[in-house]
Amino acid sequence: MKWGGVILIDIKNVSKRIDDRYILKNVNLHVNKGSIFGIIGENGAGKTTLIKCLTGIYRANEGSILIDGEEAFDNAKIKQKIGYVSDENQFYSSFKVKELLKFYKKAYNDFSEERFNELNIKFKIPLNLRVRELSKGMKMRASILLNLSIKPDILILDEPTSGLDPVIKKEIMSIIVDEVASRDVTVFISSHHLDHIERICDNVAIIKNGEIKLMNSMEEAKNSMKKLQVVFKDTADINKNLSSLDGVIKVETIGRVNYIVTKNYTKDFGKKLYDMGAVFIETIDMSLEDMFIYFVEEEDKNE
Amino acid sequence: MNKIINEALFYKEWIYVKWITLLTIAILLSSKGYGVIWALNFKEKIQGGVEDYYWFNHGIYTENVNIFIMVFVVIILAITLFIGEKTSETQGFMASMPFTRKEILLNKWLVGVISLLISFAVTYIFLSLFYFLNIKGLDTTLNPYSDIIKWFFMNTFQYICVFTFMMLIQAVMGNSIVSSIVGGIILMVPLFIIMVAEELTGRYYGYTQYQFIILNKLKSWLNIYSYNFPQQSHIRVAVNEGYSDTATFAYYSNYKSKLLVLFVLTCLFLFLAYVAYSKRNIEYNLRLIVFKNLEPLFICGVAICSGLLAATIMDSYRLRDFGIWFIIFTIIGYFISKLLLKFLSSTK
Repeated sequence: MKWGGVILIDIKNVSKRIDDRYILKNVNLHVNKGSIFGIIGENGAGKTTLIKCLTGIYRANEGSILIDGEEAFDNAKIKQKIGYVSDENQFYSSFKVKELLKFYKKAYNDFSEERFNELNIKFKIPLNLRVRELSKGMKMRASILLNLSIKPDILILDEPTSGLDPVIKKEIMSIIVDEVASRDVTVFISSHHLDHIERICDNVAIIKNGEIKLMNSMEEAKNSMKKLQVVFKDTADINKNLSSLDGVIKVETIGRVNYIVTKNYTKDFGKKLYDMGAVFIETIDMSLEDMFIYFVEEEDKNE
Repeated sequence: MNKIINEALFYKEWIYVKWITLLTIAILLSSKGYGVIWALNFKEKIQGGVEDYYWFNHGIYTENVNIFIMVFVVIILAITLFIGEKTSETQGFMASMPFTRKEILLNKWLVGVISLLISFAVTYIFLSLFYFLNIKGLDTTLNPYSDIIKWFFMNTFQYICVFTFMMLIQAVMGNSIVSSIVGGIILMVPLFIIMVAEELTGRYYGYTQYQFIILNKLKSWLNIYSYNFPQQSHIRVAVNEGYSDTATFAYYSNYKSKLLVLFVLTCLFLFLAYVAYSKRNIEYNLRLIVFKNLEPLFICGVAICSGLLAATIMDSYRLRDFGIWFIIFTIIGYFISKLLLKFLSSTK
């Protein structure tokens, strides 16, 4: 699926194999310039592998990954534009923060020490400490701080809020949104904190077993996946009939109330329910977390 | 040159390598500095003796245990340059940054080479100063200044070549410590095979002078570690009026040819290291052998070397017994190599 705007990240038919096992299978994704794209999935679904292919750490076995029209792998010019925050500390433990700062300054043409100092007022990273002396949260903050200071065009974040306290977590999310608003930065983010993804992302994709199972704008995803509370006049065989409706993921009955989760909600769906004898229908918006849980359950059932 | 040297990469590598450089300087100065100072003292003690004439030559060329320590230094240098990329947490760091693989490898090599060059240059300067400060008591015809130059070139070329080979092995193998140890051993393998062949052919077909000369030549050319081992030559020198005695002086045999071989090998190893490093997939970084298709080569190498080593140690006089030991330990070596591949490889 494509949305309007300039495509900055274009992933076409990408497959990644490690040993004889496919970690990514025929992945197709497009991310527009200036948008925030969230990728969610269970542990081991392939999120980090996809991000590593995107940042040029891994070489894709099949397909192409184009960033601003160029292959990312082994491309120093493209990597100048990418800020990458890994899910675990990737800095050399014996480096001092000030040595990392110097290294980044030399490596990235657009590194701004001014921006670094400005952000470090909030992040409070002591420059004289060695990486091994920093706490997990501080290491993550240092990584985010350095990668924001390179003034990236694309910010790739793999679980950026893991190990952070709620205050700094909120602060980071607001900085990311500010970056997009002020500099038109494109953000590709993976997180298990689905409330963050829901709050900041324009588009979202669900990955499962290395395959993209769903890709949509956040708005469309929320509009199409709904939970309905329905009361029927006649309840005989209704559960079976509801389950056979197109797009219905789950049906639960508590007393006279039927809870229906559908992934293809339209006005017609409501009409169908009335035709089946519904006397009361209430549509409930679902959180991304609920959507994800129902979606994964449905996929597991189909496998 | 600016395109080759990446300031950021150079800075990053130098943070660690500067300490290895200091260590190398200390080892070289303690070895060569002590060598010439000892030779000067020794010369003064036996004033008028034959050793008097070549004392500086002996001071420079007499090799000691430090020659082996230098191999360890080169091994440590290679480990230091690669260890960060072969640790599960940090391995993706460099690959995500704006450097090409070519830049990363070339800068590692350059930093290593510069570290060695600095260490030898400091020692060269020390030796030159020592030479000129003691020139009054020195026969410059028998102890020419070119001895220092030759020592400098032979050693820098040799250790740069060994270092480049370690880089190649680091590019092909995973675990950085094991890679360097294996690399150090591989360079000895050709010499070891020739020695076994010499022993076996000599034992069963007899020793001929012709055979001895050829095998010795082969040994000296195949063992890169021995390129900087000086040869000794004896010469009759007049001691007092009417008296003469035999003096020895040291020199590098086939000096220019060896430099050429070392240069060619360095270029070859660097090219192969570049090819391997470019083709290397980071997801297999923590395996013992990064390239699956090279695993059989490793298994065969370990198996055959184990067989040869064990059969030689058992040292049976009969060829049949040698063969039996060889087969038994080749099979054992095969399983050992399989175990090594399993236990020294990590998936995380």
